[in-house]
Amino acid sequence: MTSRTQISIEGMTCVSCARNIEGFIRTLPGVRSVEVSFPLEKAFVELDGSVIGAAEVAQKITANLGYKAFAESGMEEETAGEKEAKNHREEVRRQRNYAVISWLIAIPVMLGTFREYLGLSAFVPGILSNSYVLWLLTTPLMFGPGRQFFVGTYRGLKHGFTDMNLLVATGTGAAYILGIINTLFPNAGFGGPKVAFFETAALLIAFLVLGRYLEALTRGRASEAIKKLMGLKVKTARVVRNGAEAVIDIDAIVVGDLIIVKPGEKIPVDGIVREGYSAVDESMITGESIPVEKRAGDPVIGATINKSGLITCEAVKIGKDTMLSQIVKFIEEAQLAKPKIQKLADKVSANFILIVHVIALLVFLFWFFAGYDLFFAAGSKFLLSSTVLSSVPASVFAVLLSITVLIISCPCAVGLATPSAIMAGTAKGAEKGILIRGGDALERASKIQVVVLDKTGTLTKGQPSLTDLVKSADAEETEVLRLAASAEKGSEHPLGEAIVKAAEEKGMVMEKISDFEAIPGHGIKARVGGKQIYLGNRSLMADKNIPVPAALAAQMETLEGEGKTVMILAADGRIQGLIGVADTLKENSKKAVQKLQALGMKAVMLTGDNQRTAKAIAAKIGIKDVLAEVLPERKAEEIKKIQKEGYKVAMVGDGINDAPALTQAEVGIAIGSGSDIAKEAGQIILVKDDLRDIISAFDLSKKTMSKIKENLFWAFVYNALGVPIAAGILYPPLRLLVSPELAGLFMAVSSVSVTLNTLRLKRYQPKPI
Amino acid sequence: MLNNKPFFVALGLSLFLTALFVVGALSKSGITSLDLYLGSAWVFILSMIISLSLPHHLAKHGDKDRNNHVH
Repeated sequence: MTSRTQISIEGMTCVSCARNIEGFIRTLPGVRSVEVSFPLEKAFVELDGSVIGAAEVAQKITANLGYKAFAESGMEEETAGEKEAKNHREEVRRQRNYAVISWLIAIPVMLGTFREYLGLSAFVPGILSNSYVLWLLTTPLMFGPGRQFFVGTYRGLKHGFTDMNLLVATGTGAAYILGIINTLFPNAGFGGPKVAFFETAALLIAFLVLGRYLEALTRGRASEAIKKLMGLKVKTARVVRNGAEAVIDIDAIVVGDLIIVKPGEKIPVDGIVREGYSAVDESMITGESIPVEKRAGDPVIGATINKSGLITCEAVKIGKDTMLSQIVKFIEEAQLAKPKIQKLADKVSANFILIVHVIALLVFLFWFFAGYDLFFAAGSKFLLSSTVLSSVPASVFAVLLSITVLIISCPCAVGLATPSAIMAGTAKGAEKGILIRGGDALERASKIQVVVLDKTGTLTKGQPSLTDLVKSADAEETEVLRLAASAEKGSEHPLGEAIVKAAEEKGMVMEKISDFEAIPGHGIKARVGGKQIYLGNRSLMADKNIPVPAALAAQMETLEGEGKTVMILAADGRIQGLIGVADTLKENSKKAVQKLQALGMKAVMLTGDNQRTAKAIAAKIGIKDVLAEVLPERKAEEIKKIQKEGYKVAMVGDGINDAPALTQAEVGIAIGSGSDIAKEAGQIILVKDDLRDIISAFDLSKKTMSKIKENLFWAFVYNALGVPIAAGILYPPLRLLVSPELAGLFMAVSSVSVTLNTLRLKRYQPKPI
Repeated sequence: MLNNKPFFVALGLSLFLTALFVVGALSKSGITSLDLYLGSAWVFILSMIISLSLPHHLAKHGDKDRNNHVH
């Protein structure tokens, strides 16, 4: 029995940790697939429940890798969320305290070391320059805030994993040990007590811990949207039990409970209004800013706010089935679908730690055996520093450059570039009622050239009404409607419903039918009062060899020219009349199509209607390209044809009915899907029934993709420039070196700048259309 | 990990590389004994890290392939 489960993991410090944990979980028996998200601090595991359970996987992670892990499947969603938030707050607080302690120690160490160089003798007590004092100050820093790097390294190496902790631990550890050697054996040849190295270790730790603090802080902000959504959940509800009102815990609600929601209160779960009338603010779920009117029979979404009247709702979906829970789940899972662009980044960062150590070794060997003799001169300067490097032996000089390479090369910025942007983009979309199924969908949506829009339910409201009734010479108008409505009574097609509704409004009594059969794309057949009825389009009549009189055919063309769908009614092989039905356009269809075209995309309308009707409707909206008379099962074929012409196609339609076409398209956009998000086939789901959200979805995708590209560009540029400089490329011409502490600062800045750049997406607002 | 085959392979490889370094360093003029100690230690540490992470890195790709195959 395969099940999908989430495991929260604490203590990951960078994407390498996530990758390592992923590798470990994958080796466990019964695990089918696994994705670990560093920004979400979660593992999404598909496992065979008969072999291994989620709790067991979590326990193995903790026992073998040392990360605190707990399975969420056994916990209430809210408790898991609260625990995550609490853990995150604790992590931020811990790193903040570490950062404060580190700087309180690192600054005196720095002042003591550079007392003479910086002319601070008058202000800084001489005792601070004593290398034993510096050792004493640096030691608690190494074993306090710096301990996390060594613990992380040990944890990783124990299982053959390497991550950024190793880079930091080797760098700071080497600097600290050099400092001790210089202190204990000043004449050992490492430059003596004046080349302390303690300040290198201390400042390095201080910068790195500061980087971790800022990263924890910004990472929390990036996932704020999900937490905000989870925070919308109501804790209690007022239900009617045994005829009396009772306030109960949200988890005690069962399907079918009647819930009373007063004005100003949140609707606790998804349901249907049974009594009352009110306006409901759904902005937090759908992004719709104007409150939506709700009356008996209307669906309501949990966590939305009842603005005006008292309503009684029947609970329809509770717990994990509610729209809110599904949205949260959707977004979390969406962040795991990686775009192609990340593959390169992944490949690079996966090999990075190994490559960096190889480079560090090569750098050491070069400077030890050749570079030092060729280029070294005492009095060399460090970049952005007044510190001067005194005469040091080849080994110290080469180790120094080697350490700097290790420190400057953390792949965190590369690793963070894509997931952080996807997280911000998908969360921003969700805020606006646009659910994007991950990085892959974002990437594809940003490249769309042709947008195919299904007509019924997408461009139009999908609720047609009867507009024309034309009888043949030997039939009665009422009889035409009665026969058609009786036949359609068994149909669930919207056109049929329009005819039945019209007949009911006229108080007609429908006849009993038998042998009902829907003929997809053509119409229906049924036996009504002993008569064989066919109701459908021209091709149905042609198939049944029933000729349409010329006068009626002409009228049919006229009605179709007006954009109406015309059905022909035949009884016992004779045409009885025509029934014209028209669907009304959605308010924003025209605006949305115009905007799509203005953005350079080609809009195509797809419909089962005949050419004439389809063209008339398309003309009203401003669409030139129409694919008419397309049977439902042929929709995907039509998409394929456009793709064969070399276009990237998006299909907009009903998430459930148009599933094959939505899947065939590069991007399937399901619109106004109601609450069945989990069932949707689309890569993008528009919660709100508003076509303008398509534009926002494309726009947001482009913005997110450009953010990913910017992030990757800067992350790679940083490493491409940083590593050669750290390796000493500037040394032969300029006698300039990068100090390990400056490398530490660069590293922290690169990660933080990538995250901050991503956070600019938070300010994104869809352009008004 | 400390008693398995990859560890001893890594140890052997690192010792070999360190020995190579020592041989190279000894043939260089002006080398102090501390240069030799520090250099050897550094080469050994880096070689050990590289050779320890290499098999895991290769195995990780193997896992990925296996996983892809399953699906």
